[in-house]
Amino acid sequence: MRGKKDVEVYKDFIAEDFAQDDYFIQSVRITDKETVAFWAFFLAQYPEKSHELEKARMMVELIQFREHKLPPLKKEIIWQKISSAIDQKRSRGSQVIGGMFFKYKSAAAVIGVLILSSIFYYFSQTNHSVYAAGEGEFKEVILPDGSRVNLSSRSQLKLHKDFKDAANREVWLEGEGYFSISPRINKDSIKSTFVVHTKDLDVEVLGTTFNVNTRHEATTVVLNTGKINVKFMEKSLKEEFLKPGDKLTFTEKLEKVEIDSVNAMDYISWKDQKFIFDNTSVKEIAQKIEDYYGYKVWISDSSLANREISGILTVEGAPKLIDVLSTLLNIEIEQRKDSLFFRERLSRTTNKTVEK
Amino acid sequence: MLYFYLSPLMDNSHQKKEHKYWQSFLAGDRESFSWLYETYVDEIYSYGLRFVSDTGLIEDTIQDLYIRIWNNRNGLKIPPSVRNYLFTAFRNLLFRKLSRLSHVSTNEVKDDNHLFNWELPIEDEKVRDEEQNSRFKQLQKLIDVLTPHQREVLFLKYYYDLSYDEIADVMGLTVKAIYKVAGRAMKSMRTQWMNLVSLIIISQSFIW
Repeated sequence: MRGKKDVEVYKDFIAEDFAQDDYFIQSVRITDKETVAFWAFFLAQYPEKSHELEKARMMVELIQFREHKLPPLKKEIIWQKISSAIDQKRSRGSQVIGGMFFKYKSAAAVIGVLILSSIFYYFSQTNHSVYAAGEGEFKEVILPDGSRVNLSSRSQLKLHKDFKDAANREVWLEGEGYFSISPRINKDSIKSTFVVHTKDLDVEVLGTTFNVNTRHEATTVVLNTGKINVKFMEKSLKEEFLKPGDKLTFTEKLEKVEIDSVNAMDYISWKDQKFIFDNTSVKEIAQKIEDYYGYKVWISDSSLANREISGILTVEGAPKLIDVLSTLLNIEIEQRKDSLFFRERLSRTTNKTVEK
Repeated sequence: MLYFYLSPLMDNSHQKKEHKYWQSFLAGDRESFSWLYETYVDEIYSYGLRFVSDTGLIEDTIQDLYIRIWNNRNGLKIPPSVRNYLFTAFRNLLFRKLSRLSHVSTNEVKDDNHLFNWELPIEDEKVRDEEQNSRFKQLQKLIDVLTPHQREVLFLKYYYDLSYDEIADVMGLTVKAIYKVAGRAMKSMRTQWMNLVSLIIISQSFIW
C-alpha cells in the first residue's frame, strides 16, 4: 500500500530502478484501482518520468521464462518412493519382545533383505519351521526373535526349531524376502548375527535393512540402510561389504559379482503390494509376473520387450494386473494355460471394444 | 540509489496456511507432509531444471530433500517462508550432488560457477513470423550475456516473486549483494535490450 506522499521516493528513479521495485512490479502484474491511481498521481507530479516508466514496464514484461512441468506420473512415483523410504525408517523404532537369554535393544536397527532365485535351496533338516507365501500372496511374518519378514509371492522361509536360542540366528530363503531384523545381544554380551542363506550366497547382517532376491540365475542383494556382508558358496570369491543403496548381483554360472548403486525403494516396493515402474522395460515386468504369479511370459518381438513404462500399480492379483498392463501398453495379452502372450495390437483391431 | 523493501506479492493467507501445515508436519502428520510435497514440488522441479537438464538427478534430489526433512523434522524450526526454505534446501542439496559428480566428470558445474539456463517461453513459436523469430533469437542472445547469478536473481524475482531478502537466503548471499547483482542485470538489460524492446512492444500503449 502506497500513500500519495510516497511518490517522492521515486522522483530520481530511472527505468531499471522502477523495474526492480516490488511495488512497481506488482503494479505491472495486477492492475488495480489503487496502483493506477498512484502512478497517475506520480506522473502528474513528475511528467518527465513517463518515458522511464514505460521502459520499466517493458522490461518487467520481457522477463519471461519457459515453464517446465513435472509430469504428474513422475510426481506420483517420486512421492511413492518418499513414502516407502519413510515407512521404512519408521519400522526401525519398533519394539522387540525380550527373550530368556537375550536382551533386545529397543531402538533396534532393522534389516531388510530381498532375496530372489530360480533354483531352490534344498533342505536336509526336518527339524524346522516353514513360512510360505503362495501364488499371488504377499505375507508378513514375525519370527520368534521379533524380526519381521515380508515374503513375496511364491517364496518360502525356513528356520531351525532352535532358531531363537542359537548363538547366531540363521534362516534359509527361497524366492524373495524383505527382512527387518532386530539386533540382539546374547548372554555373553556378544552381538548375535543374523544370516540369510540362499543357494549361492549368505547374507550376514551387521545391523541394517536389506533386500535379497534369489529367484533368477543371478541372486541380488539390495541394501537399504546399515551394513551387511555377503559371503559366497564359491570359496574363491572374497566376501563383500555393502553400503546403503548398493545392489550386489551374483551370477552363479559366470561366477561374477557386480555391485551397482541403485534406488533401493524400486526393489522393495512389492512388500507394500505395489509395483513401481520407473522407466522399467516390458521384459523386466514380464520377469516380475513370472516371479510373482508363476506364468511363463512370451513377448512377440524385441521392440516390445524393450519398451519402457513408468507408473505405480497396486497388486490385486494377476487378472487385474494383466488387464491394466494391456491397457497401459496398448497391447494384447492372451492367456493360454500357464502362459501369457504379449503382442502388439494389430492396427485394425485397435478400435475394437475391449470387454472388461 | 534508493531501494526499499515492500512486502512481496505472496499473500498473507497462504503464509498462514503453509505455517499451519508445517507445524503439523513437524508433529509427524503425514497428510500435512503430503501437502508440502503437492504444493511445492512442481516449482522446485522447475527451479532445478534451470541448473541441469538431467531430470533424473533432479528427481533424486527432490526425493532426498523430502526424506531428509521428514527424518530431521525434530530439529527443524518454523521458517518465515516454507516455500523459500524448501528452495534453499533443494538448491544446497543439488549443488552438493553436483560437486560430488564433478569429481568424476570434470566438466560438471560447481557452486560458484554453476550454470543457469534462461529459456524464453516456447508456446507461441508456431505463430511467430520470420521477423518475430529473429527478434526472439536476438533476445535470447542478449539473455546469454547475463551471468548465471544475474539470471538466477531475475528468475527468483520475476518468475517466483521472491523478495530480495528471500533471494539472498536461497542463494546464500547478502541482501546487498543481491541488489548489486539485480542492479547490474537490469542495467545491462536497459542498455542492450531497449532498442529491441521498443520494436517488440511498440504496438502496446501505456495505460497508466
